[in-house]
Amino acid sequence: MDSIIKVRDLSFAYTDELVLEEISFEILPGEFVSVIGPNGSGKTTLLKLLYGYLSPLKGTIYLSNTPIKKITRRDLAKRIAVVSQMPRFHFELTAFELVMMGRSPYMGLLAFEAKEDFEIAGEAMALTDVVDFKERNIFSLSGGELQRVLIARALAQKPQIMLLDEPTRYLDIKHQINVCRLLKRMNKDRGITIVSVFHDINLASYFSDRIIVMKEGRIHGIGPPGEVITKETLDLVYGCHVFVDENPLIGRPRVTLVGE
Amino acid sequence: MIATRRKLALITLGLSIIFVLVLVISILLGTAQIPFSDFYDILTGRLSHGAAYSIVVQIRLPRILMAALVGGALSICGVVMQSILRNPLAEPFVLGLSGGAAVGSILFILLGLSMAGGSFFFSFAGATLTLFVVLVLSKSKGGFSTTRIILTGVIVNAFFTAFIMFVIVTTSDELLHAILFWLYGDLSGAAYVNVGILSMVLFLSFGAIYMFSRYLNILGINEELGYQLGIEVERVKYVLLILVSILTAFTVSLSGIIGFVGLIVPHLMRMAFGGDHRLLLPASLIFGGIFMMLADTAARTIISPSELPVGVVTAFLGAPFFLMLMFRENRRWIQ
Repeated sequence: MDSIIKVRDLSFAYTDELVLEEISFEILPGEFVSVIGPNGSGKTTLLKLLYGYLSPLKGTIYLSNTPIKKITRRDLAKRIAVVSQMPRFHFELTAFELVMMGRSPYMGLLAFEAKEDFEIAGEAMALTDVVDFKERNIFSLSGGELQRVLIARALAQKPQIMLLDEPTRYLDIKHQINVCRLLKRMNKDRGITIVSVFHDINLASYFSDRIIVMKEGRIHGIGPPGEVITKETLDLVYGCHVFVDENPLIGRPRVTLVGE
Repeated sequence: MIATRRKLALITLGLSIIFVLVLVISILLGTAQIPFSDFYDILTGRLSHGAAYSIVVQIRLPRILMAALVGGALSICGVVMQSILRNPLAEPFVLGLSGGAAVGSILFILLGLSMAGGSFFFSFAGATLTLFVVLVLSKSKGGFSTTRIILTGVIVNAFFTAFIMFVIVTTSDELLHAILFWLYGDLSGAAYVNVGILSMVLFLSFGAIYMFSRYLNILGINEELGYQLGIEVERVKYVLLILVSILTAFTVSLSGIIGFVGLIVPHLMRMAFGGDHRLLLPASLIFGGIFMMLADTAARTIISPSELPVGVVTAFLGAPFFLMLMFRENRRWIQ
């Protein structure tokens, strides 16, 4: 099968220091891939490069074999939806208005939303279970509610690929697991390719097909959770001691932080 | 509230009716009260000479139309700047653009130049330069700091005011009155030719800005979201900022510095109709006109037979409004 995302010899720097160095990997259509690694290892930067917000210093990113530089922003937005870390809002806005913005890449300059757009936005809100606060102001939503609204906005884009930057940040454990399940369902039922940065190694292990482990701007390892979530890898990459065994309920690696 | 064509039509129609009513009332009120019967006769062509006729047609009407256009233009500038800079307190006066445009115009007068359109050109240069300086000075890591941009604007404004005061003190008497009024907005010299120029500029700029109304919804959240939703963010932003500079330059070179309109009007319209720019832009355009006609009528009547510069009226209303918005913002930032 042809890859949907292909990254070749990708390097990037904000200033003089390289943040990403000679990164190469491929992602297949319909995969659920997580990116883990310590703070400052280049995870968020990698995501921003994948949707063209940042331009590479060296190397090329291909989307279904077309370099993303050759794809217009608008066409890119029809294929890739991004859920980045939560923005700070300045103006009143209802949850529904925010979700509806996901239809923007499909609309003409002076257009008003068509019936189809209302249906798609409504469906996205139903999937993320946010219909109840459709008309509520975003300032009144909790972190978990807002995160689900942001995911609904991404779904309204009808993307082939979703890129997420720590979608479980700010969420309590119930909402963490719900968001992950939702992503898994979108992945399985609709074939949306998912690339998500996770801080929680266990969530990455339980939900991903493959995991990219990053360290100091390079890929330290890439593979199924069973292969890369090992004590040796994590001790080395994060520089702290962990205990790894198998979660008996799902048969995937489980990481326990070691105390004293 | 998601904009629909129906809502757009209703809001535009409703505000337009109020606009016409306020226009008529503004014509009737003033140092000399015009009876409605006289106005009606002028309107139907039965009265075409005499005192009432010249007051209405030659003095008040061009001035009131100018007020409406200036109000509409400044409100549109406010809406666009607030969204692009993600700053609810941004408007041409607060960020120093109006001051920059005024200094440009005054330089043009002082240099004794007389080329057609020169005053506007100097004014545009002043506004654009100020915008550039304020944006560069307030740029911080990860975008524009909301507080810094306001502080920079205030300081730049203080400098311009000092410059204008310096000019006033060192200038001959006949120029003094013109410049002094400029400092707080002057609509008294409005002529039909300028009404024509400004309405054309406003019509064209508004058309161009309205094309981007959906983008303004998105850019008001953040630029990254703009990229994610397929907007050519840099291009859109610069086109819009240049249009704002043009509008500011025209209003200031024709009517002086009038502050806070671009703050009050957009926020009232937000409260009434929500934040969708497809509604917010036309609503602010029309209501900006209504607001300014009322402010100008107040300026003409409060201390009649003398009159106030209209900018004094808008500042009296605007400054407390600014503080109210600032405190509301603070509460939100803490959350």
